[in-house]
Amino acid sequence: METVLKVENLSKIFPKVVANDNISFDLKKGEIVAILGENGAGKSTLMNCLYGIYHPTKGDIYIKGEKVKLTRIEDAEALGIGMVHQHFMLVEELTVAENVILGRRTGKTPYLDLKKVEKAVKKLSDRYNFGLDPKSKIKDLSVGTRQRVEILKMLYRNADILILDEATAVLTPQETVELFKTLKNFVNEGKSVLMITHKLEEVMELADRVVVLIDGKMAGTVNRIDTNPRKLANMMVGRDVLMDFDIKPVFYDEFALQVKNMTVKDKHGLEKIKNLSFGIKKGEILGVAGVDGNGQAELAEALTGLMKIDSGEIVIGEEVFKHIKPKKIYEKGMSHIPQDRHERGLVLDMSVNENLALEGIAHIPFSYKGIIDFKYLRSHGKTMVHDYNIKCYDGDCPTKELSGGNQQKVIVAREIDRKPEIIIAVQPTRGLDIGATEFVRNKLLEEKERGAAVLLISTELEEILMVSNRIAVIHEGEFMGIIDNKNVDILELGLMMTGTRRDKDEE
Amino acid sequence: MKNRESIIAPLFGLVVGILVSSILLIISGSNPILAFQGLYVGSFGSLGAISNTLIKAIPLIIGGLAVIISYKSGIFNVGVEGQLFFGAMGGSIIATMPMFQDLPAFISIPLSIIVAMIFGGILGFIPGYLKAYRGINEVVVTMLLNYIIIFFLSQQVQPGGFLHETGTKANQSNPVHEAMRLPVLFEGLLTKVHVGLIIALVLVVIIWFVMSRTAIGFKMKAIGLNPKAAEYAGMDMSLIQTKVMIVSGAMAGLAGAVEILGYHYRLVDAFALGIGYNSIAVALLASLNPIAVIFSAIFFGALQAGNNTMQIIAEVPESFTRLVQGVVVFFVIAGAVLPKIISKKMTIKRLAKEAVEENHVKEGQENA
Repeated sequence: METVLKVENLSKIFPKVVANDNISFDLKKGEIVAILGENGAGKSTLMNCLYGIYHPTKGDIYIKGEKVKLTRIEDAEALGIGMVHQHFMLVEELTVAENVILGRRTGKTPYLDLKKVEKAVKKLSDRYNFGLDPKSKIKDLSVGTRQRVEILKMLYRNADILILDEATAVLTPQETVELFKTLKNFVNEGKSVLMITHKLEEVMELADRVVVLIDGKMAGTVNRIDTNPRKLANMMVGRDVLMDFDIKPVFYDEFALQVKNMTVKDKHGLEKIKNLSFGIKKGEILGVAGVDGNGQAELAEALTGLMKIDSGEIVIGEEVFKHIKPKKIYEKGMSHIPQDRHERGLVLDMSVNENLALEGIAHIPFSYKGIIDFKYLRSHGKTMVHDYNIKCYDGDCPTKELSGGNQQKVIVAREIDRKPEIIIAVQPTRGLDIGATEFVRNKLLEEKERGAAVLLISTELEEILMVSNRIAVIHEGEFMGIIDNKNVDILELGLMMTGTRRDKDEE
Repeated sequence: MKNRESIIAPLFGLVVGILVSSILLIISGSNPILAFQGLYVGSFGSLGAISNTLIKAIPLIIGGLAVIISYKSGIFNVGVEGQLFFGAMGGSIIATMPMFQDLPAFISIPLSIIVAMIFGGILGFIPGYLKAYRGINEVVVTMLLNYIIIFFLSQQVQPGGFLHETGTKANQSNPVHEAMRLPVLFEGLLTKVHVGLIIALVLVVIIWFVMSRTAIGFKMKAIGLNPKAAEYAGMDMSLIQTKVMIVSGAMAGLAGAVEILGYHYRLVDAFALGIGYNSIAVALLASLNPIAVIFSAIFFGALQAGNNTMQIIAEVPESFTRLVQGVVVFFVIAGAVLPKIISKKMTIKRLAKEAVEENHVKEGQENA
């Protein structure tokens, strides 16, 4: 079959950092190739080279047999390469058709022939079963639909090599299924797809071949049929990876945390959490799954005292709270791994040692009668850096100089080391590589086994399935049901995520 | 690293500031060498000159510290000016009104200072509370309060005001009771440097200690650097910020009392105009470092003390010293950016180097 894209010995060297080292692979007509790698493996750099954003230091790119030099995005697009970014490049206030034509000409410059574009968009949409109305505004569309607009934008520009960057990160399981169908349609038509991902299941489901990157180098290229997820994970990390966690059953019977009829309103008075009730036992992990923006942030903020509760109550142990302050949370042995480590979790301009002491600073042994014990601060920092494998040259190193994964480890170390009774973890592995992700999940499981109650809020279903005892699905501030994590039907979870209540059809 | 930065920035600003001022002097037809010579003679050229410089530096040290604690805590007290005036007024009630003149000095002096601090503290509390609990911009509130207080004080020392010196037309209060004047240091040397200098230096040590060694200083810094993380970590941001503003205002008030009791010996209309605003410049020049405040306050003190001699020797107008101050502060703040860019580049380079080394180590391990 014809090779549409070929990369030969491509290297991209930034000042003193080798992001891509001698990468070679090819993409044939009608084929899906996955670029698999951890964060920081060099996937994005490689894609940016193919899309004309970066210029390779060494090596060649061939498109349809011809050696090309891509200096601008326009060059790449003219050659039929289209990229769908993880974060959509759409203007919310404009319509589908307007977004498709954004930055392009319609023919009779300087006039804009929107009618023509709308017709073309409609035609393309019908052809691929996208179900798009060219006249609807982006802001009224769901995330999955928006992604279809992005794809359509590329098709309109006659792309026959589609590059998808972590395309499923924002989709529900149903939307993912739809996307995969669409991609399969493409390749049947003779188009080619290059997908960047770190999710093994996607690769196994969709790709014909897999290019695995590790630390900017090629770990190898394998055919999908010759491999399995475990082998791929090992290639990607360079060592054995824990794929299945052993979820022990809950041994305790008492509730560590209960929420009763809690309603939380945002500053505009909109109900973000609606009359929510649930409980978590000691030694239990309750996973809260759901599409981002369905009240997860508000749930965590209300439980940790950062947002006001409008009605209902929180019961910690046996103590009832109508409203709780962050300081109280600390005193009650409740830990919180926040969603945004830069905004809430860390003071980036302070050192690692200081961040590890952020909550405990006013207490013994960090300080005695208000005077900080720097000797303890340092030795504590040293222990934490060692125990949690935080990579920094010194505990006095400003936290902003650490990588994202290591910053997250600082938070995890601080929150877990004080042996909390309750842990509220929101997206605790977002942006972490496999190694760090495994580390954090293991720590949560260890804590659970020690007897901590864990509320794990995550938009990554895989993560929830891996470690939770029970799974609650949140949709628009309400739980669509809480199910045991045994023989879970993923599609059912997906339906719940989009608002189908489970307990109703049981009634 | 951090220390080097906080020295490089002001020095850079100082040098460029002097160069730019020289150019401006040349343009206006004066001799810059003569001018700066005059400035030097007037500020450090003799014992009297040094004494003058130190006297001018005293309120700037205290005011600079007041600014530092608020800025470090993420609340911008622009109201040192007003708080200083209000404190001076409070202190003057004890120090100049006849009903208190019979108190023994060991009671009346502390009492006057404490009243000054209470006055300043109240004035600091208002913007602090409004900011912390009501979200009202503290810069606007403190600025506006400055005007209110300065004119209120002006009114009180005019005929008819409750602090006005009876029998005169001058806008001033009675003189400070003889016994309540702050003792002069180094009496034999004929200088007028008063105990206020000791008070200021003690405060420097206290603030340095609080900011770098105590849990409350730690919290203040955390709040200033990332209020959201501080809130999440259980720090009561609103309460701490309000308290900081009370203390900041109280320190400004103290500076006002020290000026009255140690230097002016009576409350005069507009007697300390500009000290509060200069304190902000002093604090910034010191990169918000309490120890460095001593030096930056002396620098500003020197500019004021050397002003007269400079005017006489180089025949430049009085406004020129203010211009030099302005130019220097401008370049110091600009200079603060430069080392940051340099250090950022150095950090990137170092990290990149480490990454490469790490790769080499890994490769070495793989090969072995």
